[in-house]
Amino acid sequence: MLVFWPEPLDQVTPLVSGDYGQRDIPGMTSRVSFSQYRLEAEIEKYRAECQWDKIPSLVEQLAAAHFHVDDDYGTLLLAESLLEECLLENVSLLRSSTPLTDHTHPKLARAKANLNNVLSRGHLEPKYFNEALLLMAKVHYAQGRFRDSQGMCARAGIEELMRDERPLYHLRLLAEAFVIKGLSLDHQAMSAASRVRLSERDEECLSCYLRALVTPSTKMAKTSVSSPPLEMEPGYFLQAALQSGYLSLLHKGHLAQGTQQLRLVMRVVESRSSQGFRKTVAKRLAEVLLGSVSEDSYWSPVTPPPSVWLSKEGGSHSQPKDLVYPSIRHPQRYSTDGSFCPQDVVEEAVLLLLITESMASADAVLSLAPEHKESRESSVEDASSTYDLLSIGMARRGQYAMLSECLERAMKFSFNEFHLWYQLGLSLMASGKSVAAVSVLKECAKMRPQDSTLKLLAAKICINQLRMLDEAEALAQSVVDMAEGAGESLPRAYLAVGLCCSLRASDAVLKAERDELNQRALGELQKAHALDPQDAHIALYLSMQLALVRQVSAAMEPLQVALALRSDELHSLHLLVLLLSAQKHEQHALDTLTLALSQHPENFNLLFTKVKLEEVVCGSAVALQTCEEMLQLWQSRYDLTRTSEADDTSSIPPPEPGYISRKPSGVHLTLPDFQETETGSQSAPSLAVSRLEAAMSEVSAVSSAHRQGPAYIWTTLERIWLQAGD
Amino acid sequence: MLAMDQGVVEEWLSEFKTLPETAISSYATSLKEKGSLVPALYRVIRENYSDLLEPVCHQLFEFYRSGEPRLQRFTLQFLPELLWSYLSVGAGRDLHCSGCIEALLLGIYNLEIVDKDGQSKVLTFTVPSLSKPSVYHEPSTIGSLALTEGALANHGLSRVVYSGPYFQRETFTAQNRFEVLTFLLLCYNAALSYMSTTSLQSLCQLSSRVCICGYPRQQLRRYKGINTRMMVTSEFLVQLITGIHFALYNGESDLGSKALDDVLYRAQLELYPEALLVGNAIKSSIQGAALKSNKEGTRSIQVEITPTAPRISRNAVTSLSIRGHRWKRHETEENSVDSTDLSPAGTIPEISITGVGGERLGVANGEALRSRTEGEALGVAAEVGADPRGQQEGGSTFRDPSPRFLPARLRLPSHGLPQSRHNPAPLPPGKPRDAVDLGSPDELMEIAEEDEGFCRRAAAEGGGGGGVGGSGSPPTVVISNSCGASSPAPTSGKAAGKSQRRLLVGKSKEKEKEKEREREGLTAPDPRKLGGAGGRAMSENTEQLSLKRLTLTSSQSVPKSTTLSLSRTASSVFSRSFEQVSNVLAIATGNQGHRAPSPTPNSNHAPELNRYSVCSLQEEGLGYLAGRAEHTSPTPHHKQPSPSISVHLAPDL
Repeated sequence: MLVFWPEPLDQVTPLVSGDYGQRDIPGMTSRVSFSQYRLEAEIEKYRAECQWDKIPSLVEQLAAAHFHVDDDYGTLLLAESLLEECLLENVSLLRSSTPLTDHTHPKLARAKANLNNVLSRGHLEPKYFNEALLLMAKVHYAQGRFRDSQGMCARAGIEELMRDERPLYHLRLLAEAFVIKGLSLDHQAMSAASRVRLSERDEECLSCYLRALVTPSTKMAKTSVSSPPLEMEPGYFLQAALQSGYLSLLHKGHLAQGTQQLRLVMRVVESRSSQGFRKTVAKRLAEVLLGSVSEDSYWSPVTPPPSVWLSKEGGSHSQPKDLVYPSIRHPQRYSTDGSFCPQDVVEEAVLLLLITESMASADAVLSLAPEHKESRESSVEDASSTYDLLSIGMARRGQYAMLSECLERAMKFSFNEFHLWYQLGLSLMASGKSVAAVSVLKECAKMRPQDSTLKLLAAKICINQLRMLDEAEALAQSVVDMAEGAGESLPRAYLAVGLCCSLRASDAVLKAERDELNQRALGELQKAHALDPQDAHIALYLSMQLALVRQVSAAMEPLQVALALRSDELHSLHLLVLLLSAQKHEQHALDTLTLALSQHPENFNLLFTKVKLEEVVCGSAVALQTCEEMLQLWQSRYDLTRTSEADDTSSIPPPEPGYISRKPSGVHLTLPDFQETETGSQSAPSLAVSRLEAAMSEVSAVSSAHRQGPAYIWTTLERIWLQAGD
Repeated sequence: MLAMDQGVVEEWLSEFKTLPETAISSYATSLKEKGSLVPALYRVIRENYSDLLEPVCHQLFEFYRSGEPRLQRFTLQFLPELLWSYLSVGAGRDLHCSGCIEALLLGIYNLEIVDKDGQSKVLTFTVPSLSKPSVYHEPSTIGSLALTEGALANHGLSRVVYSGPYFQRETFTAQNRFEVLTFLLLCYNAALSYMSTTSLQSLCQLSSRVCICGYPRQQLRRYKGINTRMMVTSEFLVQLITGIHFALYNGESDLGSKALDDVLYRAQLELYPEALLVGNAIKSSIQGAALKSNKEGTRSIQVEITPTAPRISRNAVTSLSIRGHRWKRHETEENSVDSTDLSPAGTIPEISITGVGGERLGVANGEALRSRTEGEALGVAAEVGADPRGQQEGGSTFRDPSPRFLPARLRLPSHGLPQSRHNPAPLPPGKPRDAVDLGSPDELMEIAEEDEGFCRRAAAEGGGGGGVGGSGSPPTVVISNSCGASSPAPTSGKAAGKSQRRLLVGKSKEKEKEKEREREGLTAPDPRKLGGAGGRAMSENTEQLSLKRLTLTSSQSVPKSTTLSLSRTASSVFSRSFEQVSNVLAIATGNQGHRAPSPTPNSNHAPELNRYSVCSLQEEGLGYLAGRAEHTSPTPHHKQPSPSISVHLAPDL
């Protein structure tokens, strides 16, 4: 900042037109002593940094040293500090455009009186007189007299004020003046009758806002260059000045220009005072990017928006800075070389949100003390909106694991914040971190006991991934107990209970226990089916449970329902095939299998069944043929990606074969009754096991280096070999 | 269909055929001017039985194949309608007439999955990282708080594939249907900015209908079309939501929010986490926006005044403020460690300050936390290390003798090592982290940060290493014992530590008086003593420890979990989660408040900490669950049960 101080004050003053100047300046310059100069510099510094509490003591020093005795400089300063303090205290009123009245805000009243004095006496030199006018405009604005405010701005001639480098606080005043003028115009437009004038005003507002934007961003950069050792809190008008440009552009639907403005602001090197503002801007920019810019229409942050966009938005409103501020240096920006520049709209949004998140989570209030409730809530709200956007962005790219890490960071200030907990649970579930997901979801269920989805989600993980059947059953049972309260989830809850029982039955060692569980499973599934006969899943599982308890013909009925509801569903078709073969309709089963395979040509389980069936129906030659086909299929599916993996030395991880990644480990159920249908190969298992082991060791010996692929692929291969061997 | 529409469509069908190559671009521009054409085409697609459908589909495919972006977008704008047509016909099992739509969809798919050179197209995404400078930030200005966790774990920028490669498809089968449709929606979403309002409306309608048809909610929406349920997948719903999100922000807020509700409804029924995650996020963010715009008038611009950091942090405890305190505390600890005292200095006296007032509270919390993190981690380490059966991972392959003989710095080595395994860049493996000796507070702080990120997992693994290293590395256990003793760790680690402590109390009673901070009854072995009798004392301790632990676990309330799984998960499951503060605090206080088997030294401060103990209950629960889960999961349920035939039922519960 020191760079800007030494400018002699009198060099700038003559630029301002007015007849007061001629009279005062000669006298002033002769009297400017070093101590006065120093004092004024100090005042200027505090004004630039908005340290209003320091001003009164300095004014006293001024008076004590008999500087500025014959003008109202001191009064002006006092008025300014009073006014600014009052405005800082009433930001929320300003936001809601509630006029501040004299008697409720004594500081404002005093400031106004002081300013009125100053203005009516006219003793100030023109530079300061203009400042007084601008302050008065601020007072008028705060009190809701927009027309007066606009008048003051016009009188001060703000367009004229910016011809040269100025002290920092002047830039601030100017920016504020522009925004006040713009806002005043905006507010008046509400009551303006004439349509034509309305649009004129809109244009004028916009240009005011844009000018307002350029000024402080310059200022921010300067502040950061000199890095003031203090925490300055930008006031309402300054923040408004910073935001008005892009806000009005976006408000008017000038998306590309608004985005561009946001990016320009964001690229200005940050300073401590601009952190809060950067957070707002980054979030806003991310919101715009995610909500309104699609991949095909994205343009890089370092290039101007495509002309298509600009022309669509009806001409450019930007670049007033080159016209108005020829001499003001451009603010310092982050360098573009060597640094990461997003190539994709989600990349940019996620980057911005990570930046926001780092600030938001640092600001988060941890204390649960009642006196901090309000700030805690607002910080949580702030953070949670960031995490929402982050979820939207990352989910588009399937980055659930990273998202869950981010959300985990939020947990330290999210005590009892249901939304954040729920989102964390979902992201953990989506990224396959099952154990943590279950615990988080159960925690959510504690916060919202009436929400059946939470428990069922946890139960789903318990069944599918963790095989924690007792846990899953308890969860689902608690939903069942809610009866009517569970709403449409009730059938699913019965289904879950039924599945748990069925799975436990297959694990059970004792026959009595197994039978009892099987019966219970059947009962639950029948309830589920009765509640929701339209659900193909429930019908399928019911049919399967019937098949498990060897009621093969009874199983056909719900299976037909399932197939009627979803005719090409893999598992229903597979079950049908097995049921047909169990009833010794082998040929029919094989036909059905062929049909199923036409819909699911790459399903190895279907193919295995086919091999077995063909062995029975058509003899082993045909079955061997199928095995060969399977091997070819295996090769084309997985070896393809494996060779490319070997060639691929880039950092891009090899894509998981779609089939594998799309099929998270399902519920694997062995059908015990299958052995009966299989006539010839009762001894197969024992033989198979030894062979499997041999094959395993062989395979691992040959290709232990290659084996890092999903284990499922290899077991599949081994199983194919075994089948062929049989 | 009106005759006029038919005329328009027929004209459109004929004119493109006669168009020379060079005129395509200008033709694409002129398409916009045909106002009645697009609605007419919509009608053709909606009326499946129209004779015009087949030529129209063919023409749309020709447009797409032309490669001219504007013509491609012209085709794409009908995609939602085409999808609906395809799906609804499929649901009605009336397959014969959807043939041309099917062909069109597959055609677009097959064109889109390859790039210009005919190679399979793979869409990648660079995961941004705050640890690398970008056009928007400089890593130095981001608080190291954010850098410790994710950024260090996956150092630098990584590219991930989020879509592709796909296989060419000749026909739709049940197996590939949603793969194809999801990919088509992805293409559509990429071009959302160019889509007309009609197209967005059609997308919202598609989303609503696909999700609610056949469900009770269909009555609510008064949609009287088909009423059979349609299958969806989670990825498909996510793509739909992406489109809805765009519609919401671009003029279709009513239809969009209805569609979003419908998709969420279905996602809830199907229990799809991905779709629920995005849907909830969008819902909550539009609610936030609606709240904001309700407060203010809509006419003028709304200035957002964010509460700036200084305003909050002046008197409330924030992550930032706590962090500042933490490293101060860390420094003092280092000092005291370097002096003859082995126990982490002064944790207890500082906790006693809690509750005095805002700022003070902050200090106390921060520091209490910090010390507990250490104490807890080491308590766990001690315990795992002492358990001879406990090493399932890490331990057997992981040996590093060097750091264990640095008693005073032991805490850091045990953290540094595992970290270097997870994070290849900053530390060579086995480097004994003499960085502790660096005097600069900045570096101290960095270490502290790293510790936080990794200490819990680190403790488990480091402890594992120690256990396998066996009794050859006695100082490990001694040190950790003393740490565990000074600050109760959760579960059995805590109690073990305590028993240990009692043991040691007897031994080093005579030293007690000189240690001003241990007036609460804590103590730790003197290093001079350790130097000599360390090995022997150590083995005794180990025995004692495991004995104590065994008795303790049998009395614990978790039925199934053994100490191993419990302690391991307590440290590993949440190692990367809950960065530090509330969690550690919570568990520590939780243990104190609820299960303290004997009066702990700082139990008299429990009331002050009660504020956090509610929170702790939640997280304590987590720890328990995790323990149980870990216990049950290692059995190989995930594998195929046997090589015999099995039916694989999809998890669509």
